[in-house]
Amino acid sequence: MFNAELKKGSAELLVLSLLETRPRHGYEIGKLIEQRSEKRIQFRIGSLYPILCRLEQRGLIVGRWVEKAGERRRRYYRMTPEGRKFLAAERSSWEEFVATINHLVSSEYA
Amino acid sequence: MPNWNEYVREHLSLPKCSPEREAEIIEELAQQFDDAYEEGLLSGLSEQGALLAAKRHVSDWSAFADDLMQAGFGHPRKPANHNFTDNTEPAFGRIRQFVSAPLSDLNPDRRQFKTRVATVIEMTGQDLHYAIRMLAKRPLFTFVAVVTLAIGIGANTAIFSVIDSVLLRPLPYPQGNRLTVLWSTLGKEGRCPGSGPELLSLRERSKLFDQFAGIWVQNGALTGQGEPQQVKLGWVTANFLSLLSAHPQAGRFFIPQDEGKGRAPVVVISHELWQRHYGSDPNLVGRSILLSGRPYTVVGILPAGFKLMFPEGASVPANIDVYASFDMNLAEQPRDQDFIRIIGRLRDGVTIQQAQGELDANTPGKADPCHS
Repeated sequence: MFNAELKKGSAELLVLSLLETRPRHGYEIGKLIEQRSEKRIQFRIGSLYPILCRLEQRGLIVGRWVEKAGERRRRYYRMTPEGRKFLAAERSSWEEFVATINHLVSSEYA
Repeated sequence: MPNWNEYVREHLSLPKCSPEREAEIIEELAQQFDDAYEEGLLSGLSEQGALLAAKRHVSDWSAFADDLMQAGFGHPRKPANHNFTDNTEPAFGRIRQFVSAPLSDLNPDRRQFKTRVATVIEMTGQDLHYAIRMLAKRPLFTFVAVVTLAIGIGANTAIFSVIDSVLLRPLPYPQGNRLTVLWSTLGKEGRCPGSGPELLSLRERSKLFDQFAGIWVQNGALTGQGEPQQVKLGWVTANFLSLLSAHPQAGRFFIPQDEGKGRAPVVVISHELWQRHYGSDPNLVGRSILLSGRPYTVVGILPAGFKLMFPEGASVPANIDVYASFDMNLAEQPRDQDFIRIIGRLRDGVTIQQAQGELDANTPGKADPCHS
């Protein structure tokens, strides 16, 4: 399991990236993160739900109640155009940040 | 099958949320808890095990509620078909709008500075908001902490005020560090003011003081102009005010010719009385006022803030409204009539101990209990 601070700093980026291709509901987002990280990153409802709220308040995602036949209605989230721009910018910043940290912590500087 | 709606409703408190909003939140969370429960059952857990695993998703409900409120969950949601291309932004986004100003408008240094300032302001506001909410959740602790702080701050302020006025600040008089109050000793029982002859004797004999002055305070009444008013009246030697104040605000202080029996009655009034009773009349100096039924000519007005700082027990209040020069000959007063509070100014380089030695040596017959 990664350090909680690292997880906190990348949480929004993770959530947005999972909404890039299609809408998803909250629990599904948490499960996907857990599966794709091979259980190295796990978000409980208590952590993930406030992130979704924040992103929605900022207009980066939008939620909608969807009722499918035979199922309880669920709230699905999708990314907004603002969210796509934000994700692109954050992704680029993140890549630059990681590259910089990697460069600094490499054995050459140890 | 657990009732997750009921479970969430029991544990989650969002006091600033509307009932409709709260119902939406509860429904969405209940759905997620149900998903977690179903997943637990599918993974082979017992019903109880799956229930516990699901409940572990939120262990601290009050922190969870705080996070939701901080995330803006007290605000109504935008409608699902909200068009985000019309450039409207929630209030939360205003700071982001500020830091996202068109880059062509800002040079790089100003842009960075503005970004840092906006970030600091935003973070400080969030921290303050969080701190206030945490304190509001623990009212007893907050009350005790506030009371403790209030007592500590109050006590420190009071102590500092005393130390500042008594020790740190010099007396607000010219050469204030050389001023002393002199008392007659009353046998072994204490001390008392001096008499007229004693004051004159001190002036005659002392080589270590360059001036002695005296005051006697009683009540007086101003009549004539305006409402009759009781005032504090200080009978003083001619040099009393000039010993304690550099110069008057208007007019003059007393001169030797003002003191004694049969002299023209004159007064110097305080700045505060001049404002309060005479409406800051610029032409008051030279006019006559009625004091305890007698006319006196105003010859001077003291500067604002002038006050006396006699020690406790001297019966000399800090704020005296009217000063009049003694209208009696001090030499003719009974020697045992002790009513004058005497002050003296030491000569340069003279210590209190030296001055006390001189006073002790000059005492005419130590058997007289009322003489210093």
